[in-house]
Amino acid sequence: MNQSPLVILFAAVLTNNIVFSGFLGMCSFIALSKRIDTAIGMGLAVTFVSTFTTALNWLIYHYILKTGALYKLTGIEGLDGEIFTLIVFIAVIAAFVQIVELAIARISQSLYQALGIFLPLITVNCAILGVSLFMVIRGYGFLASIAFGFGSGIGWLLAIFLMAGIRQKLRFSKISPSLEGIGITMITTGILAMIFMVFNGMVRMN
Amino acid sequence: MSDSGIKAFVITMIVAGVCATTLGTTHHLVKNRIKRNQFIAESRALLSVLGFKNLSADELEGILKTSVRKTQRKTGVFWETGTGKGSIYAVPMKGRGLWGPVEGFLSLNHDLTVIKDFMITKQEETPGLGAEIESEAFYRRIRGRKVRTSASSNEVIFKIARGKAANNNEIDGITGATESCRGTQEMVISAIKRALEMKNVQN
Amino acid sequence: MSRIKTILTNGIWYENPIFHQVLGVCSALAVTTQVKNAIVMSIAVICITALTNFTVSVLRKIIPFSVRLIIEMLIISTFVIVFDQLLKAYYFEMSRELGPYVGLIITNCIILGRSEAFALREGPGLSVIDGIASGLGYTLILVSIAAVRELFGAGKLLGYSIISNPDYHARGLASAGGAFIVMGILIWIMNAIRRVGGEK
Repeated sequence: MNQSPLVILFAAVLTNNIVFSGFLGMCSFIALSKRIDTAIGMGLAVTFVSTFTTALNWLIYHYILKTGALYKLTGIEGLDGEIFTLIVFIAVIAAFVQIVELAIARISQSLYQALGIFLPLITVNCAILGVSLFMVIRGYGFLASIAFGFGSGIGWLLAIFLMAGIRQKLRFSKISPSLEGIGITMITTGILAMIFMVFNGMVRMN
Repeated sequence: MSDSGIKAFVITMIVAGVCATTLGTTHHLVKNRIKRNQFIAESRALLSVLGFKNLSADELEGILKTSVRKTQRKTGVFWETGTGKGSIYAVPMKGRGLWGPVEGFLSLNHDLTVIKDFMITKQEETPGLGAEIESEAFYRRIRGRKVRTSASSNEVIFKIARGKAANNNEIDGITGATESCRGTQEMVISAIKRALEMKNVQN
Repeated sequence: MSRIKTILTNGIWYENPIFHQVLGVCSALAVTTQVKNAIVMSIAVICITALTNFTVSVLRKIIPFSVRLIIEMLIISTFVIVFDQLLKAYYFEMSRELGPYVGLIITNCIILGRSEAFALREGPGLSVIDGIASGLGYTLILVSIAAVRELFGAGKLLGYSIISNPDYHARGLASAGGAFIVMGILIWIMNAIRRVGGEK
């Protein structure tokens, strides 16, 4: 099933938003959506990491891990890397994050100040691992996977940006004390998710 | 590299080695069971649309061998059971819904004018809405639908309405799941067309 | 004995991982359309948290600080994949329903959070209890959300039909948005109960 990468990109941002329909990346979504600037910083970091790790994981999965690929590569029968998929994906993500962190620290101190603190959190951001897993399950091609990784990152950025905007305003509203914090954040997310359902039908995702 | 660096590296490698061995062993132990489960799930759906319901796992294989004929063609694959006017054809369906791929099996009567049975085996639609395409209530609406006016007609009539069916040519859709229904409709039509093509080659 | 009691009550109620520490929310929502799925997912999280806590605690003296995250991730991933394989082999239907969300337990922050906060410091016995307690806290929330969504969204409970007339089903609850709102309200109720109970 070949779907144009552009359609996938669009769908990943709006109709299949990773937060609102996939429930992924929620922990940092809630923890870091208190202020717009931190939200944008984390959103950009997630977009960056998810785009590149999806591409890397696609290559690794299709040339090494997939059932049959290892046989083609080495010529030894009976080798199957499929079971290591999860563990390799998470290792790639962790290693990539580590390398990016080091690189940013060397290249630009100001960028490191802005993004550095978010990077370690990304390893356990399930959105990143989720994107890699969904890419395998839905059988995307290489370009489609990159579009999906990038689109999901942008979708996550959009979601956390909207949420942070709302939460900044919420501070001036009177809310029942028991509902403050996570409670009202969850309910607002729910309403946002329902709003995003309106985009359904604009594109169809495969 | 400092001593502590080497130690850290060695320990990580040991842990990784132990983990990999554990995984390899587990996979080796359950591999065949998983394959068999997949085979059973697939065969059960296929045999169910061919009219063999509620089979135990052990019966599946026997019936697949004795009562079902499988034909592989360039354009696809189909299965057949029974003879003459009592024969039933089954074809696999592949399509897309709102969230992702939808797959299933469809069976038709001997001259491919009526849908015998319909079953979804894979879908990721919204639970409670689109996911209802995988429910007995929805299957019941599709079973027995006449999809061609005559055995010679090439036109396939199959329409899932938005909400309640407006006339006899439509079947009731699922409110709030327009996309899943449209995907299902297209999937069914293309499966029937493929079956017609293959049948024509056969005759 | 009182130590064990504290760990249990903390994990389940006072420091419930989901609504107190906001950990592990992701998977909590996706699998809560049915109580059955929520229960299987909870069992997975309880087992994996307990086992990971145990392993990390046993190894805590020899794990170098610099690579502890990687080692913890390796251990968690191994247990998750083993569970996933066992599910596929012995409960195939359920593994189809849960789909990729079993694999995503790896990034469930509860597990990493507990091994960081507890298992690296305490002995294996207590760590197992802590793992189970946090897992039970997770179960409490997961099953409550699933019960509300399944009962009012689809009119069923554990698959048995309770409200059979589909006109009374609140379909919105089954959608993603509904999940967030049910969870928000649940947190509201729980916080209110705590307030009445006189806690801060």
